[in-house]
Amino acid sequence: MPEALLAVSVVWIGVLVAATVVVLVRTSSPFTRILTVDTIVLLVMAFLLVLAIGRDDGVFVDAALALGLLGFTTTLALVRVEREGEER
Amino acid sequence: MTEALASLLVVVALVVMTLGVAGLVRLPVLRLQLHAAAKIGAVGIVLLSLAATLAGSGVRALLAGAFVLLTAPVSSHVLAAADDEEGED
Repeated sequence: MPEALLAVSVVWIGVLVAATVVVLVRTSSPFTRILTVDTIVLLVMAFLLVLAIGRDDGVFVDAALALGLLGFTTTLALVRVEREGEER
Repeated sequence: MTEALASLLVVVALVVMTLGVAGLVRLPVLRLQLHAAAKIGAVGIVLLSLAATLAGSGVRALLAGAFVLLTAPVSSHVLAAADDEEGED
């Protein structure tokens, strides 16, 4: 993978994360906030995968897989908490 | 050859992710934002995992893509159902 593409991809994913954080700050619906957090997790997974391609090191793929698992369960748990209040 | 294909897949995945985030930013309601955000995972991450597999990271990369592909609909459904239930109050 050319170095220029790696650099541009990394910076561009940073821009996307910044845009998603803006949505997170500006929105008022709690479920939109949960969706935004899930999107940020997916974008960080993408960042790790791009690094795995660029650096040709398999450890980033393992990190991306772990983050995906955690992000999914976090989304489900956050929706559960939002629906049922803080008692559980 | 596979390196060039992996680079192309990365570019396409980034374009799709940009469109997904643009939808998340610009659409007004959660129901519509769910449509955009699901593409980031189901298309973007899957294409990136394909690119990682082509670039030599092995079949583990496909595992990450397959997991996100299978769980993205569950996340969207759970969010939509909870939002639906909240609106009934």
